[in-house]
Amino acid sequence: MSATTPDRVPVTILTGFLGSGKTTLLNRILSENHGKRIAVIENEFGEVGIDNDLVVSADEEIFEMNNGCICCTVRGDLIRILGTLMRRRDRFDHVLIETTGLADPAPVVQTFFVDDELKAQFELDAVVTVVDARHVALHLDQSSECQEQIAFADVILLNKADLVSAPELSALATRVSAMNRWARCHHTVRCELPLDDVLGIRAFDLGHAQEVDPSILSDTAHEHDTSVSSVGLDVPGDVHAGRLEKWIRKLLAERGADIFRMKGVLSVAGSDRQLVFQGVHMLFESSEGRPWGRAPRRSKIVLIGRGLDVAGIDKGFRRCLA
Amino acid sequence: MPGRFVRVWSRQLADHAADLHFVSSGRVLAAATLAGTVTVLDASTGELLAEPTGHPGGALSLAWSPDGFLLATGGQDGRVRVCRPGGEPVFETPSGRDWIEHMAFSPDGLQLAVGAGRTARVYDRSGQLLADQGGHGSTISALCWMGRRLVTACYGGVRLLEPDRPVAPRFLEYSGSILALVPSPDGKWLASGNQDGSLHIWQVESGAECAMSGYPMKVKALAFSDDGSTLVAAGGSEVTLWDFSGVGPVGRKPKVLEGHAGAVTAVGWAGHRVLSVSEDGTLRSWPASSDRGEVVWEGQLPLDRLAVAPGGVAAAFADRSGNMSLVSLDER
Repeated sequence: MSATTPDRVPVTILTGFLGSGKTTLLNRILSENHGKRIAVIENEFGEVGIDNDLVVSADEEIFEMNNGCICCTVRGDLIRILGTLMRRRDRFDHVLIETTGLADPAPVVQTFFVDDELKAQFELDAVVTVVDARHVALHLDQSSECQEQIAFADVILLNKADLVSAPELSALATRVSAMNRWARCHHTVRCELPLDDVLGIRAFDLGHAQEVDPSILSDTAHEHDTSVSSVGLDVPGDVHAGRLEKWIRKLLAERGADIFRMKGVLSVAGSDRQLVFQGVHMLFESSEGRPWGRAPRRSKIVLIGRGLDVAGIDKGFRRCLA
Repeated sequence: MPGRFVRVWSRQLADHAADLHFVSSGRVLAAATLAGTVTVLDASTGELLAEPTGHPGGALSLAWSPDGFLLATGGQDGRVRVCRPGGEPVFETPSGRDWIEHMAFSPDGLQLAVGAGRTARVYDRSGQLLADQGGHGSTISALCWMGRRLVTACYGGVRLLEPDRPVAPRFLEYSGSILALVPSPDGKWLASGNQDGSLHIWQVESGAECAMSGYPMKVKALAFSDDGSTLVAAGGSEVTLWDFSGVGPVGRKPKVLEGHAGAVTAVGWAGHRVLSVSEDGTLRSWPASSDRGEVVWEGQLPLDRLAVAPGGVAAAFADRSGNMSLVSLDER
């Protein structure tokens, strides 16, 4: 499909527990004088809706796709509503999707990978997760939804930062970044931050995937088996395309339900261009990136998942080296 | 079959046409647009006959009563409006949160069925609520009538209910997302087009079912021929014809019509010909006895709405921007 349509409308997915400040951020975005026409799809009754923006209330309708892939769920309500909105002549400049507090962000993200029409018309911009700095510690241990919201995020707001002490905030930031090292983490009070930090992130744009951060490299082997963590691998030299593809397919087939997101920039033997890819659970897409030129050739991947077998992943990836 | 379709007129609607239907005489047609307007046009000239009160936010659905005396519309305001063809109001329902995306008059014209979120409502011609059928697990995604039975689809299956009889609805389970639903004219078959690129077929009385999967895209375009012998369906750039004569489609291979360069967005029957519109901007006509379609119309923008006049003598279609055209069969 026309995944490269130039004027695709960016979509920001806003997640966070009830009381985290998600609606405050939504109102802040809508009331800021940015000149954009924004369509909001909200799943909790809030009191938003300003001037020429459109707010649509919708019930989350999770549809399992009947193609044998267990973790391939999508949001039927979004396909229906955005399918209509995108046909209007006065199109929106940006779409914000606010999920319910307890929502798993995966079906929302997957919707934009799976539905051909939405894929052609919309471009995921980022998953933004608002965290209540004072109360999140409780949920982090007990709630898989809370862990998933952090694991899926491209931008995390540690909000209500004024309600915790500096050491507490710092400990929380460390913990959150161990779970998700690629997200940009901001400490906020009443979600105050420049909107450029929230909108226009282009986190799902493969053209920006070169920014995969090698500093994600870390030793997470000591972490608890079922916890959410990030794994980053950075290996000099080329990988073998066939072996790599086989390895990723096997990894996703076996562990796709536990791998929330994956990104990579690879140096494939025989190609003078970077290969960039990203995945959400078992869904996966790749494309050619920029030429290597004189830059040192190396391959980097980052995975965020639950109970990741770091040693196994490291070993499997190294076997793909050319 | 002789004759070719020739363009009669084009006109610009206020916005994308969300729904488009001819009245049973074929002389008039109405369009519901995403600008919220409802437009009633003279089919032979394209002249504006009436502009009934519309639906702020967007008009999404419309239906003519079989006798042509009533026009029902629904939209993003959650309201159902019923008026005369000249726009004089007959009744309206209060506005609501749920979009009104699907509606249909019963074949006898006495009942109007409307999908509002997870509820199917049935009104009589004066606006009295005859049935209020909740219990749908998700938003109603399609509805149609089979005689006196109202058929509604949502994620998870299909319900058949008889609004004027106190019997429990019959449920046909299906674990998928249904996008379109058509009954065969004899009431024997029910076909759904689905998000996962498949058709699902039920033999209504026995409940026996089968699936045809493998369409490259979701299946939203499907229609039975007037004699019920063939189902046309599309989920991608190909048009497929399934043979429903005799024992039905099980075990048979569809006839595949190739020619469109983009996804087919709507299909219909004009007598024995299939008409199809596509993202490639063309309207194609496929004669029954041939695999070769002819391009009836070619425009710049993707086409995505098609209405065929009763008897198949004319067809109206609209592109993404709401530019609408009518072609008519020239028998000379």
